[in-house]
Amino acid sequence: MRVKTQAKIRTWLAYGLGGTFVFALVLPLIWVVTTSVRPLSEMTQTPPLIFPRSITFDAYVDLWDTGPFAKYFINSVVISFSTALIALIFSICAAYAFARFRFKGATLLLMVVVMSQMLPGSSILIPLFQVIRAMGLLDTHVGMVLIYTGFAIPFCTWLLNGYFRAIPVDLEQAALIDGCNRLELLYMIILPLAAPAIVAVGTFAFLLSWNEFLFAFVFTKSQALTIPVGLRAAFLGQYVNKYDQLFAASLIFSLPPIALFVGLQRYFVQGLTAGAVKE
Amino acid sequence: MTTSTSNMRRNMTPYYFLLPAMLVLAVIILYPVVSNLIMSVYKVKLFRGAGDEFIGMTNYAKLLGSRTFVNSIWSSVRFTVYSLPVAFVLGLGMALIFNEIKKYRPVFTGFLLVPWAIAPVVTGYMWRWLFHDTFGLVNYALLSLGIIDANIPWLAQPDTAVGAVVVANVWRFMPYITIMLLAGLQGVSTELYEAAHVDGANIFERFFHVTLPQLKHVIGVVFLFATIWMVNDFALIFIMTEGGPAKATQVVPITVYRIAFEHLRLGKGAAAALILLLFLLSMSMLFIRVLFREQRKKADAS
Repeated sequence: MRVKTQAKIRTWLAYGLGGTFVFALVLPLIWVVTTSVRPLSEMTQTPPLIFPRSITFDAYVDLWDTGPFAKYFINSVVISFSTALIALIFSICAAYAFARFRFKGATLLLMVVVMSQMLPGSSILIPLFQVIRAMGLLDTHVGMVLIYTGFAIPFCTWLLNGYFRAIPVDLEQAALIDGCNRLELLYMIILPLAAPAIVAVGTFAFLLSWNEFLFAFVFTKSQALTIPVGLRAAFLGQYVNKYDQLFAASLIFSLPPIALFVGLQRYFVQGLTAGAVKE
Repeated sequence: MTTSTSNMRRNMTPYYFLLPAMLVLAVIILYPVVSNLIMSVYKVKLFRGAGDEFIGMTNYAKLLGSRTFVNSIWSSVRFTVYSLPVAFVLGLGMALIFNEIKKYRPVFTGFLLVPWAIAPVVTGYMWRWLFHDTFGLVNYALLSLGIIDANIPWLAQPDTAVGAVVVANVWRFMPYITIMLLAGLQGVSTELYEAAHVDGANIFERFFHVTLPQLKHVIGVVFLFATIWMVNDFALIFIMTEGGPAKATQVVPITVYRIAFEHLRLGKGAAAALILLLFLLSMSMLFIRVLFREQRKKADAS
């Protein structure tokens, strides 16, 4: 009986402490949300008001027509979706080659993939700038998609390779005898079985370009400017800081990543901890 | 004859599959890595005039003699060395608590993922606003609690600015550490734990002698990844402080950017980037060796 009570207290304590922790963690975000729904006059009040006196969603409406935010938003959507799609197609093919064929240079190329995965963006920023400039792709959607695809491929290929290897080859051998070619095999057998990994990898590539700042900051000026860089240009000026709109835009911008992370929590955690946790 | 052609064809197939991905990698990753190496021993101007001039190790010598660069290394070290232990201890604490939560755990971990999901830029603006000297919540809370008696201009003073970016960084990385350690805790054998309990080990002894040793591998991975990500961070710090005030938060990636795109010294910037890369590369090598050794052990065991 005593043990049972102890266990109960322990559980309640865990929920209490866990809840407190989580609340402390999201408190900054709650503050930002309340900032985005108060009138500017209330925002710049000292001392700050904890609870807004009046709530307005003006910022969420105004941010679309007063500045270039709409354009940056479209840029972000176009670049991120293109990156996800292209990185996915290229990585699926590459991972299939690694998982199903023995060929000269396989180990070396896989090493290249693994090493590239660890490569920090800032360490090749300068030569990459020259490459993109030489190709005439500075400040273009194509240039940004190319860069993000390059940075997404290593992780995508590595993860898919592991997943493909776990799929038994018997099915493919039967289909090969039936006269399917390799592409058909990939499309009809591997892809449906690897659906969870493909979702995870596509999400990864999408978020990589959606959230990226450094390359967008250095390689774009106006045409291909994405939200992470555009926030400042759109809402922070020398004379007026539209904090309400800045945070309204930031929150809209944060919705896709939050929805994807939370919605795909299970796959995501699996991917994140793959290889790191002993089974 | 036919067999050999079909063999040939079969042998070529993987290369066709690899071609698109490898082409992109070659242009975006491999060529720049090599090019960066070469650039670092040249004097390269942003807008090419008479061509680049070979200057040997001069860029490196200049960098190591430059106060700005050496300071930025210290800024990076400070940023990482302050953030990591705090994020780790908090992350571990959270993981241990969440491990006790069986029902509704996904709800808790769902919230946990939020700081990790949102862009570093948003995190940067958020904390800049929280640390705002007059309208910020941090000053307001500290004033109300009587801890301080005047507003602190957090981002305008070197020491407090370092503290502020560290706080933001901890907020961002703690969830990752918690998720990883929580996953690791699922693998901790309960038998050993119960055996230790029967032997009369108290909660701390059980933690340090049973739980922690079994988390060794995950902890290693967490420290490596977190170090690499933190050292490599650009956006969070740049949005919050732009490297200032007085370069107190100007970490190496920001210095690389400034040398190359503000002072327009591409060769020198490349040399700085290479020093950063070599450091991170050695960390990665360590990671890969540990990972492969672990896998080999597993393969030998089965």
